[in-house]
Amino acid sequence: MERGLTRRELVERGAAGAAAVAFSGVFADSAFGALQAPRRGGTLTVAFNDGGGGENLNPLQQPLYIDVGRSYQLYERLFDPLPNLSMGPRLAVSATPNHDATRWQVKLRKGVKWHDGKPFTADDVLYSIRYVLDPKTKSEGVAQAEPIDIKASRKVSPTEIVFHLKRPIGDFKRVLGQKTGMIIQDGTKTFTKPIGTGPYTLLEWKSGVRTRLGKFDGYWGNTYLDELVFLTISDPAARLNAVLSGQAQAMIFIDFAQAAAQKGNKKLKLLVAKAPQTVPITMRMDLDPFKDARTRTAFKLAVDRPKMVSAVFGEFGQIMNDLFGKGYPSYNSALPQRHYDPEKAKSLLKAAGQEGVKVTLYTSSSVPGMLESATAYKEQAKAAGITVDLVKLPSDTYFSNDKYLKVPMYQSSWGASFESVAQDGFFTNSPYNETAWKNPAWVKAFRKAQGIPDDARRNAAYKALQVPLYKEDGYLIWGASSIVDALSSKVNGLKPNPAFPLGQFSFKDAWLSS
Amino acid sequence: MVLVVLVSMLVFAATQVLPGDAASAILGRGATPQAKALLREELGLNKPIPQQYWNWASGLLHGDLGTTLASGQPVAQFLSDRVVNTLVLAGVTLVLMIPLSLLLGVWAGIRRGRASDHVISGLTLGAIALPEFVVATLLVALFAVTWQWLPAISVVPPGANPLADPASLMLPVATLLLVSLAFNIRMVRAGVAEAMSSDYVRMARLNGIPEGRVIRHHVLRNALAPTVQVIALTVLWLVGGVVVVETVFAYPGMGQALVQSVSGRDIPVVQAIAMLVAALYIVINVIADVVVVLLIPKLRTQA
Repeated sequence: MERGLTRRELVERGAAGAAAVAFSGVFADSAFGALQAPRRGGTLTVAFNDGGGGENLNPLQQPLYIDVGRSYQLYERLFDPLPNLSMGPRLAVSATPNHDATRWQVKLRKGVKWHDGKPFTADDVLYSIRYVLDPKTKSEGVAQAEPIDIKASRKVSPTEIVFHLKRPIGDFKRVLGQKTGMIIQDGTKTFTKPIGTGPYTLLEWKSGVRTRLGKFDGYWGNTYLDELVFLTISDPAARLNAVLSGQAQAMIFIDFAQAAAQKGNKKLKLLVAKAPQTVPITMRMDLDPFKDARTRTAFKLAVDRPKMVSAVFGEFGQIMNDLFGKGYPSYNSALPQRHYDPEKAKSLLKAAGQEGVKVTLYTSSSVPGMLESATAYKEQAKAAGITVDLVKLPSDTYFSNDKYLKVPMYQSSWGASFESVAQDGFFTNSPYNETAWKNPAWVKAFRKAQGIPDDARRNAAYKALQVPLYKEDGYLIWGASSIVDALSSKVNGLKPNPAFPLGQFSFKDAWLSS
Repeated sequence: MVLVVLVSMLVFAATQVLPGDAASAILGRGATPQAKALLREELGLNKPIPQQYWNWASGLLHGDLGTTLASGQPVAQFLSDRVVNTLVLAGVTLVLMIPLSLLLGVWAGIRRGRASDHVISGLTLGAIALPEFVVATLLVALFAVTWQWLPAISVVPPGANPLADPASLMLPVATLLLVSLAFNIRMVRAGVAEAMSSDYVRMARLNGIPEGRVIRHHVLRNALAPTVQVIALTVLWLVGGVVVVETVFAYPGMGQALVQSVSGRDIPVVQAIAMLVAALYIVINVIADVVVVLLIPKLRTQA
């Protein structure tokens, strides 16, 4: 349960990232299924990790995976992150900026119907954004929608809107394609009887037990399955058993160890999305012993990355270079990879007057790999003369206790592109400025980069902004893990998507072979 | 009654000291402080604690368990199916467990020291040593995954009676039986064995009373008094402590709801379940005491 929550946050940040490509791949033999023509009909039962009394039907307020999974069937966004993380059209067909990216003309899809038969129009879109921006609705997407000047934005025709922005945004499709960017019908006040434009309608909902969704006959796109059933099975072993015994055909988050053990099983296939999900160690630059940049670099050199990744994530991980968003086009891969070098770390510590330094690292088991990597770091750092004391905190309140953002060394979790983390973690007023990176000039340069409409130029600017972070910041980012889900070998059509588990819950594309 | 009030205060206090609150759990880590403050205000979480307790307790007296914090549905409605499900699971287990444990326990006790006693005692000792999640995992691995005879998880459709699909109940019941049966058999056996070697049994035999009558009238009545208490304890365990079994089989019962609500900080649900379990404890203990008095005439005449 806790695992699910925090995993979601990682992934959600992933979804919020920049343009294009992170390598993803299915493995296990899916080739057989791909040869058949897609078959219509059938029911897909999906086992989720979370749910219970905390579930809700509001598509703009979703702390749980099962909520996100449900609302992705009922509602749609204007743009969707594709498996390669570029933005694909959904309810919108195009978005065109003016010369300085402060105004965007968005054209909407024609012939889209709501579940109650009403036509979908520009009024629905404007209402949805007004709803999110109203603080009284407590919508999750309020920070992401903040750059939109909703008072100045207007409808040009029933299928065309001109958005006015408070500042230039070069990647506006991504702002509209957030998980929290679901479009609701004009005038919606409550969500107990969901009316969306999505491929499925709600047949039955009992929180913590079962959700049943039926195909929406008036859907503008293509669907194969007649019905979807979502179950909550919090225990990962029970989820796997449900799939192995045929009671479910898909499960979210298989344990890495179990995934490795099931690789030869013909009844199962794994859906692996290579996402940059990390559990970095944070060092606060405004607190001792991390005020000196040399100390921070020494700590970054005191970790044996390949060993740590294979110990913590097994084959479902990759090493990282103290930067976020590996695999995204904005990632700076030109910087030299840091290696384990305890001797150099020692000399740096000596130069900084921190020889034989002792620190306390706060950790928890709230995210897979956190506690394991903290324990491994304690051992590896010994060679550099660093003594690490571990303190394990309760996992379900790990990011809301009184130590977070207050102690010199803490473990965190992110799964996003550089530009997404930057806004949440590197602005002077960022809510999660975990390393106390306070650099107004850097923020100004970032804002400027954000307004560049051209992808290549914007990414080049983002890469340049990562150099000072690599050299000076307080993030020790040693490795990242993939999102691994399991499917029955009968399930076809789902493509791994680093934005969200189970191919971003794109069940409209799924079909069952007989 | 005093006990119930005390329990209610304890439960309320315990839920207050849990770190974190419902507003953070509902809105997630990305929530703005304004949104959290607004939600706390709406949910009444920023009122003084004694007032929160009073609001809850007075509602409880009127039979109003409040609404769940996250989805706003009435707690009674949220829990009703789940309570039924747990009671069915516990009930089926109990109906099988009581005769089985009496039969096997008495048999082993009467034949103490002989081969059948050794077999029963040995097996039960082994079963006690296995925790329920091990038993459950083993059963699922064999019956659901390898042979595929029975479902691995026991999802009960909303509104349906779990008895409508007996196959889905079999593995959870078998798990609970294996774990609780062993303990009960050993207790029954110990009671019977002790009575069998007592002076009054020897006396009865010396008086020429037939062995069957000795066992029925002298051994069993005395041996069963402690057994009733043990069974009562098992019932309590079945109602409140089936969390592990419900989790492993994804069975939508009270235990599962409790776990989900604790991690979601959905205090009204946690409190309702805790109160329900507390009330059941008191009722079952009273029933057990009455049964013991009925079994042993001596206790009726003493007062």
